[in-house]
Amino acid sequence: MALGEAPPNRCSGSIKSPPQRPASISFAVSSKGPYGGVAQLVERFGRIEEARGSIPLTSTPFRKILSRSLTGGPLLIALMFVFLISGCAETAAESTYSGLEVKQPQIMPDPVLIDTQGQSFSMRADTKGAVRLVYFGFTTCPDICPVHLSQLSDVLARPGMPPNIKVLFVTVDPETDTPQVMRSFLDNFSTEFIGLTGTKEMLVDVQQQFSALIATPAVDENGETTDIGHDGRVFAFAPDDLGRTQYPHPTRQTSWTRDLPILATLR
Amino acid sequence: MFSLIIPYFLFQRRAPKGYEAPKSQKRLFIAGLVLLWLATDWPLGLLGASYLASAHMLQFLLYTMAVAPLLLLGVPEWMARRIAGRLRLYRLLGRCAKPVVAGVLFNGMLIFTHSPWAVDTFRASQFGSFGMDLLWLIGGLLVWTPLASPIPEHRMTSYPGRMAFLFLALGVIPAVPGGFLTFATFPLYATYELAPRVHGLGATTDQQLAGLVMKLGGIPVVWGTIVALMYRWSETSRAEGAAARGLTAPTLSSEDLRQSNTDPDQ
Repeated sequence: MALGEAPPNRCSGSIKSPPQRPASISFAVSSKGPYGGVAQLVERFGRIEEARGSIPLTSTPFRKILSRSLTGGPLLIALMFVFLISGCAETAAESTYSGLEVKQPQIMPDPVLIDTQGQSFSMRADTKGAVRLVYFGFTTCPDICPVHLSQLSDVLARPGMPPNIKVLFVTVDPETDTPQVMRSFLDNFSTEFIGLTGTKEMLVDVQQQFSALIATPAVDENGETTDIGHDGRVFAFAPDDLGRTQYPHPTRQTSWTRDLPILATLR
Repeated sequence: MFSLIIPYFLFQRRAPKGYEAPKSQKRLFIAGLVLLWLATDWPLGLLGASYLASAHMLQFLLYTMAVAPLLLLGVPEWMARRIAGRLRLYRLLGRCAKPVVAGVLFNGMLIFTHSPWAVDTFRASQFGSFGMDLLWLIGGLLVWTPLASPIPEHRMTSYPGRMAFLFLALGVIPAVPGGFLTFATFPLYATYELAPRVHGLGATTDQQLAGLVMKLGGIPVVWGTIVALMYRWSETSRAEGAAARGLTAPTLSSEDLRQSNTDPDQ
């Protein structure tokens, strides 16, 4: 090999003298091939590059598979990572409660209503020492009420949840929601849930005491009630009778599971 | 639906002269369309879009395991070539039909479209929901292309390769997100967790059911296809063996046979 001459199949670094193509390689291009002219040109280019040595002559299917796996693998791993962390994103919030925190904790009001047994029920005194979750709704509610109650039912059935948690469901539609109707509605979620009713005036007063939005029925042209707009929040009170947090719709089970044990310890 | 039916039957009129599409091919395409309609329309479409994770998963299975292969099997070769040529998709399809590429793209799509972020974002609107359905259909077509493409050179040729591809791309990797859903302690998807309950089915139970559907639902299709491929492979090998024996064995004339029957000592 002469001085300055590049060895075959290696980059010489000289721009002026590119390596010569071996004369034995011929490139007949036919348009009758199954892939058409373009594919044959691509093939021809590949063969030129092979002859130049810029792509290895020993290119094997295994190597192709390996290189594609190496490019596709990280993509799959990254996607799996997204799959995993996106489910946990909500739990990473840095605050005492997952629910809406009340700036100045309020003492739980103590109105007396009628429970599903037809007995008078004092909302604070009869639930002393428990976490109280107060919710204003109605049994024919199509969406928010059943979702809240279903979420609470699922969460309270989880192992490790504190036992001293009372759910108080106060109706805003006393005409429809008789004690029997409420009981059968609540039993769909839990037999432990407490249903409360009273006169219209009493119930408006209770909503005001809890600083809830007053429920207003939507009436159609014929004067019939089609829906009832009501407060979608669950008002939470710790065993020390203080309301520090509220849970709007939607509240996820992860939030409830995080907060309820904390609330249960506040005595 | 119409964007598939109308072009399909319009294209049938422009078939090459003398070509008659087999009836079974049309039937397969129509079966694919019927299943597409079942997966998209009420009640499964509505339940999957807004209420039940298990219905969502059933839709996914229908799109990727039933609709996609049926549509591919229902398209004649000349039609596929013509569409690919007109839309200048031939080379792209060829690249996507490589088993590794198809497997990675399909499973990437599967993991993305089942991530809580994607489900909660896309399922929140009709367009998003439609986009997700479309993505599933495209993903299904992609993953079945190396096995059932109407264009022969896009199909895998070796039977063991096809079986391995089926097992890995459609059998093993989908079980991973399926496992997450089955064993997650909390509902992963806000869309289904916060939806009104259907027949009292709890959000966690529904999710576990979805995981089971994902893990087990594809098994009959994947293993059924693998068994069919094995059978075909054995038949092909037998036919090739018989052909090879026919070539090597000395050919006997009918006279020789008659002689051998009459004279046992010969």
